[in-house]
Amino acid sequence: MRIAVCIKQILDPRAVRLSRSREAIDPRQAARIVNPPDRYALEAALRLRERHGGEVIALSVGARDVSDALREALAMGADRAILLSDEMLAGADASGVARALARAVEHIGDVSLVLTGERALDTGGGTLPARLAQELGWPVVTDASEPQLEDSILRAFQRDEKQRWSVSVALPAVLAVTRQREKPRYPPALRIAWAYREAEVETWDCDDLGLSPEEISARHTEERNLVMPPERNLGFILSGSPEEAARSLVAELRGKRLI
Amino acid sequence: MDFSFPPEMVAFRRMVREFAEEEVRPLAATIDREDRVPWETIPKLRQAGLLGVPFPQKYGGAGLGEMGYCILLEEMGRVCTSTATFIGAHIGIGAMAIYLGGTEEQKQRYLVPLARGEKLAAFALTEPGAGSDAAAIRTRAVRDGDRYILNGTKIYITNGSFADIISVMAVTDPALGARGGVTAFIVEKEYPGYKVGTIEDKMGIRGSATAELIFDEVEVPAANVLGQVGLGFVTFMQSLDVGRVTLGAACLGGAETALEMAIRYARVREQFGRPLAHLQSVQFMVAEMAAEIEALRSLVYRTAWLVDTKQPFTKEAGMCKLLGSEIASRCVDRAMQIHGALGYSRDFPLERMLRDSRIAELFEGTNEIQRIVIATELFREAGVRIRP
Amino acid sequence: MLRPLRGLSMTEGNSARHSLKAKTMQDLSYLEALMGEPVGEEGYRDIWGLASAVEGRLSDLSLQTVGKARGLADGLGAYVRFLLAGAPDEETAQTLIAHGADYVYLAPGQADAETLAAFLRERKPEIVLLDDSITNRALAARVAQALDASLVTEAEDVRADPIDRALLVTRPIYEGIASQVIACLAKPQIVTVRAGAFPLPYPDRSRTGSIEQLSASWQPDAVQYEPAPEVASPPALTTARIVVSAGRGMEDAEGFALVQQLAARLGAAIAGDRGALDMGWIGPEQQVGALGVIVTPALYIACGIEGTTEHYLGMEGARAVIALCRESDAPLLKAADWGIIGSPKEIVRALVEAMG
Ligand SMILES: Cc1cc2nc3c(=O)[nH]c(=O)nc-3n(C[C@H](O)[C@H](O)[C@H](O)COP(=O)(O)OP(=O)(O)OC[C@H]3O[C@@H](n4cnc5c(N)ncnc54)[C@H](O)[C@@H]3O)c2cc1C
Repeated sequence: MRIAVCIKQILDPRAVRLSRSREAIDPRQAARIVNPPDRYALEAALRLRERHGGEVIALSVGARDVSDALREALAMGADRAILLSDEMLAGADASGVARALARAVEHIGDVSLVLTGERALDTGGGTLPARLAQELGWPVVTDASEPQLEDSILRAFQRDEKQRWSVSVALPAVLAVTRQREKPRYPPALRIAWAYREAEVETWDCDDLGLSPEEISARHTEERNLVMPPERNLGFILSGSPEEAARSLVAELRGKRLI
Repeated sequence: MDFSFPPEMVAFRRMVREFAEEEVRPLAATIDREDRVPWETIPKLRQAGLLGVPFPQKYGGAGLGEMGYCILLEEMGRVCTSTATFIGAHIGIGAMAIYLGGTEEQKQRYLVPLARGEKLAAFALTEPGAGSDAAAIRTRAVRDGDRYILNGTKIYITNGSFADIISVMAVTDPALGARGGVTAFIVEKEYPGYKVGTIEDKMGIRGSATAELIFDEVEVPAANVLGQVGLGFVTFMQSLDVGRVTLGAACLGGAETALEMAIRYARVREQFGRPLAHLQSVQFMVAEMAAEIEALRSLVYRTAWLVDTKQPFTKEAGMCKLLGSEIASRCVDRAMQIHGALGYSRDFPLERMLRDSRIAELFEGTNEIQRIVIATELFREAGVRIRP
Repeated sequence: MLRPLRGLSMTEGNSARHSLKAKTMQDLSYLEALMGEPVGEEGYRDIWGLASAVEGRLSDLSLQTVGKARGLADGLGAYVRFLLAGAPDEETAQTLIAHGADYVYLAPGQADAETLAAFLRERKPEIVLLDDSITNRALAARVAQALDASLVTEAEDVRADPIDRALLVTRPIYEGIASQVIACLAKPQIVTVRAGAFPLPYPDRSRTGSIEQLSASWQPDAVQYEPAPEVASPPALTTARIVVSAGRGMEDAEGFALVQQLAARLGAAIAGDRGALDMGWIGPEQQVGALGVIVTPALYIACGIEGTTEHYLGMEGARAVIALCRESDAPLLKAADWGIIGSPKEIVRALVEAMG
């Protein structure tokens, strides 16, 4: 079975700070890392390959320096890594990226499963897996965990807002994997050395994929200003009887969507 | 001059840090309290390929050289000195002796399984009568046809209680002594007559096993002579040199943790109406810690570069060990001072770190011996030969 | 795979107009005249929504969404039209109308992307609002991709630019450290609305609107769903969104049981300070502080914890803190966004009750 795994390189969300004075994200402390959920997707792919054989191909869209993220995927165990890199793709939004990835999956050929992380932890809206599925004309399962293959039926678990489901879908399909039990493996030291020194990251551009500018460069949304979270006002005491104080606290928390 | 780490080293550090945080840190207090080796970590270290980091790939290693190995020990040193010591004895002096002194056959037979982590190594030099004065060892190796018979006792051997493969120094010619009379051997734990004796009850690094090894008529094939007969010291001193660089790296990690803890605490602990961070005495301590750490970092990684580019590094290795151990001890001590009574609590890592850090001033050659090593090199460069 | 679409259609003759109660048969042409020609560009007009009725009920989120749609519609001079999927009945449709919808189209079953996309392609809405959920995010993404529409998920705020009518949608980034305003450039403008982003509108039972039954149906889902047994596991302390933490101030086992109730009610992880450890309420792996675990939840509720520096080091990374303390000079009150002074036991009990 041939599995493609989509990998995004992001700024480490744990190290991103907020600059209140500039009302901007301060990325200076943040390294570029593989989007953590994508590593869970890759882990799921590697486990499927271990059980059923086949090939795992890591796929990413971005500038040349994104090849580092793909090298990490190679180090973890991916067989091939392909970077879609093109000036034209530089400004593409989720729609264009999904289109480019779908075209790449078709171009690779014979792919029966595409895995992605549940969402990109930077600014992602979690729409890529479904967009990609739409482009491919395949079904999608989002927020899935522990995928298993039984006679070309893929089974997994999904937890929605209310409960946990057991889902099954015939391949080919797109699956977005959550960060649950099956923790991504540590890339072995030997593979790290190989992946960063010797391994090849194939680079495809729009010509290779037959993508035209109109297909990918249309912008559907535009990022505007940031809204800073309200400054914390510490030491505020709620007064009244326990019942009154509790009620106003619950109201405050609901208002701030903390509960 | 480029001080940035190459991409594979950056990626390697990221992996090791995550490994250290997720797998090693949570056990650090437990193994100290329970006085035991972190058995559950060893298979994970093996899977992540962390037990053969510096060795070439053809010998089962990762091919990341001394620089990769320093990164490994710095990151381990940040979270658990016992685990760092286990790795250091296995790779840095145990397997390293075979890598530096072994024949191709010996490397295939012994280094490969060690580097893959299938077997574990120890390095046995110290004896009751031979500590700093390593030349005073009395373990005897007598040739008998195509084998040697070993008799004697080694003490304070890290990993000794469980090592599968032990590099051992023994006297082959008492008349020649250190100059031509000492030979290195590879001993397998299965050889009849090899026994593990007492296990030390130590002040610190209690998660690292330090054992007495007894050799009672142990037959070792002549093919297991490491390096040349009579030149055992050359082989061992070379591995010790390499080990000292990475010991400095492990100390660097410990010092970094102490500094981070000190800053975190001084930021939030309030006395006399303001955080400790505003007290100049605290500022001075933190500034000195940071300055020393920065200097140590440069020294360690420059020395690693000397090793990897095959330049002489004995003097610098001694400096890594000397400064590293002192800086780490000092930083932990200052961090404890800043934490006050909290730092003295056995529930808090500083107390363990203080006990652990002390060892680095003692083993792999005491700091006095490091000063002698450094001075010997300095005077040799000036044409004066210093004799121990 | 998805079958070729047949589509929902309202224009075909077989889309029988439902026989409605008199009050829903109001004359909408009057309203149309009042509002003038729809002003949306390129023929994109009106605000559409998708809601789902379960056992004759709509979720609070659906009501919030229709309320927001109403607000936007009033500003833009547009109608609010809702597709009502699930198991819709006339009463639920009336509820939608009471909360702001002008037209409700009953479309029983589970909405699918192909059908919805085809439908919206035909209807050309200016705005489409959906409740934000796992299912709807995937649905909206497929539809947006198919229509080349703009899409913003997890909206915390939705405004229309008064000049060019473009939607300005606020959504969280970097796991909530800040929010970003996103402008929609393409039509339709699809938005999934987060629970609690907007207030529950007050129903106006006198509002009238039209209810119509759609004849055609949704496509079956290619994915089979079966309920799976829950794997009951309280969230891990270090990754939990909410941590409820106990201290000596909870007094006794009964007090700690209240803390457990509060945590269960919130789906929160349970922790404590050193005092709770000494009382035997928690294990060392649940002790928050420099001597134990360091936590960084979105909300930390300290129940009966006065607050030492040691404890503070373990929870200073929390994004919001509540301190329930007996003494008014408890150090933790100074580090808390909200404090309540009194008997922690009584306050926790009152909190559990206030949450309903
Ligand atoms: C936890 C632990 C792990 C160890 N692991 C190993 C191992 O894996 N393999 C191994 O072979 N050994 C190991 N050792 C032994 C270690 O290397 C020796 O303890 C060390 O070399 C010092 O020897 P000694 O303890 O006999 O002290 P001594 O040599 O007796 O020294 C006592 C004091 O005298 C000073 N001194 C001695 N000679 C001089 C001199 N010429 N000039 C100035 N000062 C001097 C020393 O610096 C020290 O302060 C380990 C020891 C410990 C505690």
